[in-house]
Amino acid sequence: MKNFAQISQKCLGSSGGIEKNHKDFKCLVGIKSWRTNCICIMSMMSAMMKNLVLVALILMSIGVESLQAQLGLEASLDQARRLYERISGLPPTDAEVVEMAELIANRRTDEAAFIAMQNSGFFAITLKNMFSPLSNEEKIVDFPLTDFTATVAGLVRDNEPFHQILHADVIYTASDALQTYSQTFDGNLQNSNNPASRLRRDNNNFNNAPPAGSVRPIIRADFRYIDNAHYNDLESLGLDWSRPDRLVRRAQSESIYSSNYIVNNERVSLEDIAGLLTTRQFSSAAYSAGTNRRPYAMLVENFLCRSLESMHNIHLPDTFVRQDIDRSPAGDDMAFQTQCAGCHAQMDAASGAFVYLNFVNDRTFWQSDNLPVTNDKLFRLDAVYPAGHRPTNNSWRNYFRPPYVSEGAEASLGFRTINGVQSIEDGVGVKSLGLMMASSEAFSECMVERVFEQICFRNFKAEATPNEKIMAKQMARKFEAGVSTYDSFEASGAYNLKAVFAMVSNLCFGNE
Amino acid sequence: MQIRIIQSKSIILLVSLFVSGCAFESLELTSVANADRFNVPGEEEPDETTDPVNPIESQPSPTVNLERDFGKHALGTKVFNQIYFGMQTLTGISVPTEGSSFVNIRNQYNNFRASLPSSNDLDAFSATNVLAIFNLAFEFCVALATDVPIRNSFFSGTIFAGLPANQGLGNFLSTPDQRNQFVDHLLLKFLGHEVSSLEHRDLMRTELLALLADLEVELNSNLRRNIWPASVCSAALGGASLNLF
Repeated sequence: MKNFAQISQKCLGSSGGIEKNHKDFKCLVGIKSWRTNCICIMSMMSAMMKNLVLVALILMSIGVESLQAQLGLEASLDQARRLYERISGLPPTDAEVVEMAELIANRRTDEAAFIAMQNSGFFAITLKNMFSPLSNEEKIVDFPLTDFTATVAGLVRDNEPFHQILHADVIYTASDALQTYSQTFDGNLQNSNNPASRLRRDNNNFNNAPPAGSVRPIIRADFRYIDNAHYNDLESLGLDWSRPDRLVRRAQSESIYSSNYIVNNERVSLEDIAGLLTTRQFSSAAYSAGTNRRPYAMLVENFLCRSLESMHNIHLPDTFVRQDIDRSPAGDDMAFQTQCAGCHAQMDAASGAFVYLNFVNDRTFWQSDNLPVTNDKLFRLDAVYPAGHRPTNNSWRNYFRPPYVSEGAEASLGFRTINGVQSIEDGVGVKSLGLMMASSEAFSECMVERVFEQICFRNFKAEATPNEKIMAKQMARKFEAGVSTYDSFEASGAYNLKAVFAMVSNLCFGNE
Repeated sequence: MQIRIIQSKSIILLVSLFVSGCAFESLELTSVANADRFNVPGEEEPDETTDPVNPIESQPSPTVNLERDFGKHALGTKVFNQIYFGMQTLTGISVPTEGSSFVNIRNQYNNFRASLPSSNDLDAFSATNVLAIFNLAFEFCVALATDVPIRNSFFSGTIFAGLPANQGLGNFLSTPDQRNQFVDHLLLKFLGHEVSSLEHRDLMRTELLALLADLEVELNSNLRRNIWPASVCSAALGGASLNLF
């Protein structure tokens, strides 16, 4: 298409004359008639119009691109701010918003999510709010920092495999530097008067508030771990309590002692140390009073995202249903078979793992020789059905598996053996039960669901679309295997929860 | 005096609600119905009206788009600690857990914490939550107006930094330029430099300037000294723009 300026130039000539032989403008030569003149003018007008349209199109395309860019940028900035606040719980700085917006605009929302995860609010607000309801029976969000939530935050901060929460010998506490004395175990707890003991302390003052900037030790008066003062003090230091120099990993087996330790030098068996399941906070919610079935219900509900009702199955063997369950409630034999056994068959068989655990005098209590005690909570109402199961040790059995439950069924939890370490059929102690649960497909999928609800603000079961549910399963598998592309964020390992936050952010953000 | 403060707070709250309402509107949240919780206008809403006479016939048709909400996030409200620590970040006021510093803010938070939202779910957001957020914002803004080091730090770069300790912010809000600078600085600190909320920002700016003018008439000279600017600040800090996300 000819340019109007070029045509005009050719028409009028560079010297102001007229080019006689130009095919478009020869009509002007001699100005022979009004008609030819008109044609020439029309020709010029036509060329001008074509060029105007061209210019308009160019301008329009530039305008549209500019507008699109502007709208895209605004949408990205808006999403960046929102995503940052959902992940960290705090407002971002301008620089953080801009950096995240650029990543979001370039379809790298997952990478943008890692920027927000660097904020201490991610641990102190978001993770704490997410996991606090799982730590108490009432599912309260506004709950103080406890050993439960501190351990969650610590594992995520250190990019540790997150399935350790259900089976590892781990607890996160304040660092020695913050404590009024060291809690390093010296193996000499029996003699509290031993001046060489690093755990020795002033028993008269252990309940007093610590000096500014320090925290009371988790263990006071030898084996006291009877309140939440340690974590209350830690949280009072501010949002930065999760800093590596403040929150450190320790072996839980050194922090929880049996009451028998003082008597016969017995320590808690490592087979009954299982991450969050044996923290003081979980113990207070799950092992206090009752019949020690509650920890199983909390375990499947909180960490497998299944309610007992949804797992109700009357086809499981009732071999391990305990003595306190009436086999003929109100004289109706069928009621036991069609209702009670549906939950108790699996629950009583699995909760054998918890029989040595209790919560007494405000602390986790582990006692391996309490089973013969007739009036123990495990044997209360044992006359209701004397032929029922009577626990003799902390072994457990899993009935919620094939062939009792169809593999691949909706209710199936996808139990798997991990390198032959743990059977999915039976085991001994809480640790092995936790390992089996944490290795299941349901655990990974549950963690993805919880992150989905935290980031997308939609109830997963009720509001996620069919395709999102499929994608969530795929993310769960990636969570188990690790996402190699997150290597630069140190989040490429298996069971890295930060990777789940990144993947879910990519699903719910960056699509506008 | 107390009655006057209560009256003033009521007016501010109403304006704050209006600002919140504007924000809601601009976020396309005219309804808190489930479908409207999403910030992106989706495809055509399926007709899910239930006919009370013949409910079976009015079930959603099989053509309902199950993927309508794919990849979207719903809007939510911040919860208690997100609001509290967020206000600390925005104002630059670090409230210790004990001691005499900012005790009014801490007491307000601790005493009315249960009234702040405990769930991000917008469906659970209530009038009680709005009131609690506003009152907490008010305490932060009073500290911004009355605590000289905090005031100097927050208003750094404006005419309000470095004011004599015995002078209130309200003494320097008599001209339109001063008011513009005050409101613009609030918005800059609270919303940041980003361009995402330009429409929002203009809307809020207009409302906050109007609030300044309205309260000038309502408040006596004593209250105009610090309560006046603090009220306008709390309307911004407690508004929906900052507490819905």
